Amino acid sequence: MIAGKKLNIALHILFTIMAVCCLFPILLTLSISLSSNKSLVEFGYNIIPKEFSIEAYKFIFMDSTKILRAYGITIFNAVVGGTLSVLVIAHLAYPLSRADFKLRKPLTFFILFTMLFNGGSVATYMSITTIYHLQNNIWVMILPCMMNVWYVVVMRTFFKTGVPNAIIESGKLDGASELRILWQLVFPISLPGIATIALFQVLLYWNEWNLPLLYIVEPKLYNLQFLLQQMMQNIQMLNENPEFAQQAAAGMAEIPTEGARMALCFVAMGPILVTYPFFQKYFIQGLTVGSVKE
Amino acid sequence: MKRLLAVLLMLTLAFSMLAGCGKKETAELEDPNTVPKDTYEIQWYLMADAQNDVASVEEALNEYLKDKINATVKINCLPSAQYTKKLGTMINAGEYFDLCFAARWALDYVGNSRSGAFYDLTDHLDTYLKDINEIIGEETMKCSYVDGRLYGLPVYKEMATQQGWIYRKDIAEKYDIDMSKYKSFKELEPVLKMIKEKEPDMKYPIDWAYGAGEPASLVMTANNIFVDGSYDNQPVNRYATKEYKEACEIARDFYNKGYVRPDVLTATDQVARMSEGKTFVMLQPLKPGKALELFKNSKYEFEQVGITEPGIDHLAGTGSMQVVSATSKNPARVMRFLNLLNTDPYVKNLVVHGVEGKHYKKIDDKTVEPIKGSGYSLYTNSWAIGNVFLDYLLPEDDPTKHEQLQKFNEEAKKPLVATFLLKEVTDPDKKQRNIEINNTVENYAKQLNLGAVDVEPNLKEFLEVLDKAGIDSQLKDIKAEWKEFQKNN
Repeated sequence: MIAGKKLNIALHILFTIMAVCCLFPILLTLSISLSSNKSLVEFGYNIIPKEFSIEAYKFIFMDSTKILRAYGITIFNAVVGGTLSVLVIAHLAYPLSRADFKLRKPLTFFILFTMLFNGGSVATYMSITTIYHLQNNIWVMILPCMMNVWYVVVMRTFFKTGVPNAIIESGKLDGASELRILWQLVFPISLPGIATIALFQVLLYWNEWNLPLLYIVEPKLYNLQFLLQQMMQNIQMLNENPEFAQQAAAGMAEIPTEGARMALCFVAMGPILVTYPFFQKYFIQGLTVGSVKE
Repeated sequence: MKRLLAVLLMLTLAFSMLAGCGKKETAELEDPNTVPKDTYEIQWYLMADAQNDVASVEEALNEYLKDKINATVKINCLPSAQYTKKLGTMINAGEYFDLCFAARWALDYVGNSRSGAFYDLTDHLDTYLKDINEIIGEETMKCSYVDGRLYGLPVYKEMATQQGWIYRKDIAEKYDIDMSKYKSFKELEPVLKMIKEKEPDMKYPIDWAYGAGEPASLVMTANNIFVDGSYDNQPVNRYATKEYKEACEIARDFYNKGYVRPDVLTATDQVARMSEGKTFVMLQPLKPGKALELFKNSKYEFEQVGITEPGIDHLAGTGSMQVVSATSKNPARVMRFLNLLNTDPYVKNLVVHGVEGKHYKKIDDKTVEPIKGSGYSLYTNSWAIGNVFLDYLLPEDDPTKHEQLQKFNEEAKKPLVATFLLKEVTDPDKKQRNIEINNTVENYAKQLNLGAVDVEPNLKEFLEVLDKAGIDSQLKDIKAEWKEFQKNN
C-alpha cells in the first residue's frame, strides 16, 4: 500500500513535469503574440509579456476576409473530409475483418501494397492534375487523404476483436442485410474505434498544407495552415537566400513581425483544441483495443 | 517479384524523365507586325503574394491586348515559398504553362535551361523581342546566356550592385560621423566602440547574417575568381586567401568585443531589429534608394553610402527573369506579350499597379497613389516582372529613382567574369567531388564568416578538409575553362 502511494506521488510529479513541458511552448506562443514588437526586439521572448500589445492580432485580422475564408475552408475540409474518410475506412475495414469474406486475401494484399509502394510525387501530381483535373478544386484537399491503409488495419483489428461473431450471426438470423448489420449492430458497439480514427483524420485535415501548396493557385481556396505555412516559409526563403533578399528589398520591409506570426499560430490552433475533449472519452479505449494485433 | 518491381521502377523513372523533357515545338512563324486572328490565352505564373482582385486587371489587360496581339492573360500569383515547389513540380511533370518567373536562385534557371524546360529565345531577339533587346543591350544580355543560348529574358532594372553601409541618419548626425570616410570594417571599429559606449539603446551597433553584410562578403569572388581582378584574375581558393582570413578575424574580434549580437549564428531578425532602431549600421548590397525601400515602414530615417565600386555581377543577368515554358503552345505570342510588357508603359503599370481609379489614383505623370485595401498591388514585386523603368513611382519614392538607377547602371564596371558560367558537370567523380566541396563550405564557412568561432584552429581544419575533398583538382578544372573562355571573349 505504502509503496503504491509513493509510486503514485512519483508518477504525479513525472506527469506534472510532462504536462508543463507540453504547455510551456503554447504559453510562450501566446505571450509572444501579445507582446509589442519593440519589447520582443529588446528583451527577446518572455513567458509574461514585458510590454502588452494586441497589435499582432489587429494586424492579422486587418484583412479579416482572408483569414475567415481560410477558416471556412479548413473547417469544411476537417468536417467533410473527416466524415467521409471515416466512412470509407470503416466500410473497407469491416469486410476485411470477416473471416467468411472471400476476397479478403487479395484485397488485403492490394491495400498493403499501396502502403509500401507509391508512384512518387511527380506521378501523383500528374494523375491528379491531368487525369482527375482536381487542381484549384476544394476536393483536392480532401480526396487524396481519404484512405489511410494504416487506419484500415487498426479498424479491422478493432472489428475483429471488439465485435463478437454472435452479434453478427444474430443479425443474420433475423434476416438483416449486411449493410444493416454493419450500421445497426457493428457501428454502435465500435464507437471508440471509430471516434479514434475520426480524431486522427480530422487532425490530419486540419493540419494539411502540402496539398494546397501543390494544387491550389486560387487564393480563395487557401486553407488556414497553408496561409500560416506560407507566411513562415516566405520569411525563411528571404533569410536563407541572400540573393533573394538582395532583389526584394521592398518585400523585406513588409515581413510580418514575430508577434503576428505567433498570433496566427495561435488562431490556427484554437478550434482543434476545443474538439479534443469531445473525443477524449473514446480515445483511450479505442487506442488500446486497436493496438492489439492478431 | 523483385524483378517485376525493378522493371516497374525503371519504367516510372524513364517516363518521368521523358515527361520532364517535354516536346520541343518550333515557334509558328507569326508576322510580328500584324494582329493574329486566333485568340490565345497566356498562362502566366508570378512569384508574388496572392492578390484579391486579379480579375479586373486581367479584364483590362485582355481588352488592351486584343487589338495588339490578340491574346488574353491569366495571372497566377504564387508566394515565394509555394512558387519554387509548385513550378518545379509542374516542370518535372511536363505540365503546360506559358510564362513564368525564374532566376538562378529560385527556379534553377541554369539547370532547367540545360534540361530543356524553357523555350530557347536566342533566335527571336531580332523579331518578337526586338524592342526590349535593344533597350537591354547585347553586353548585359550576355550575362543571361547558358551554354551560348538565351532561355530567359532578364528583367531590366539595376543591373549592377555595390557593397555599402546602411546606417541610422539621426545617430550619425548626433555624433557627426561621416560614414563615407570608412571604407572597411577595420576603419569602422572606433565608431562602433563609441556608439556602444554612448548609446545605451544600441548594445550591438552592427549586425550581419551569413551572406548578408558580414566582413567576408567584401571578399567578392565568382567561381573562385576575384571580381576586382586581383590574383592575376585567376581562380584561387577563396578560403585560403589572406583577405578571407582577415575578414574572419575582424568578425571574430567584433563578436568578442560585443559589437555584434552573441546569437548572430541563429538570428534571422536582422532587418526587423535595425528597423526598430537597435542597430546603427549594416553592410548591404546597394542600389540607389535601397535604404528607403528596406526601411520604408520604420520610424527612423536611414541613409546609405557605397564603399565598393558598382559592378555587374552574375546576378545582373540571372537574378530575375521571365522565361517562356517549353510546354507553351504558342511561344511566338508569349514572346510578343513579353516584349509589350517590357516596352509598353500601359501594360507594365497595369500589371504592377492595377487599374487606374480602382487600384490607384494618379497624382501626376510619373507618380501614383495606391488605394488602400483595393485588393491589387504588385509594385513591390515589380523587380520580378519586367522593365522597372516603365513603372509609375509612389509618392514616398525618390522622384529621380529611375534616373539614378540608369546612372548607376552606366557607371558600373563590367568584369568579364560576370558572364562566365561553368559547364555542366557530367563526370560522376567530379560531381561527387563538387558536392563534397560544397558540403565542406556549408559546414565551416558560416561560423567563420559570422565570427562565431575562433579563426585559427577552425580555418586550418576547414582548409584541410577542403584539400581532402579535392579543391585543387576543382580549381584546375575551373582554370582550364576560364582560360578557354577568356580566349573566346
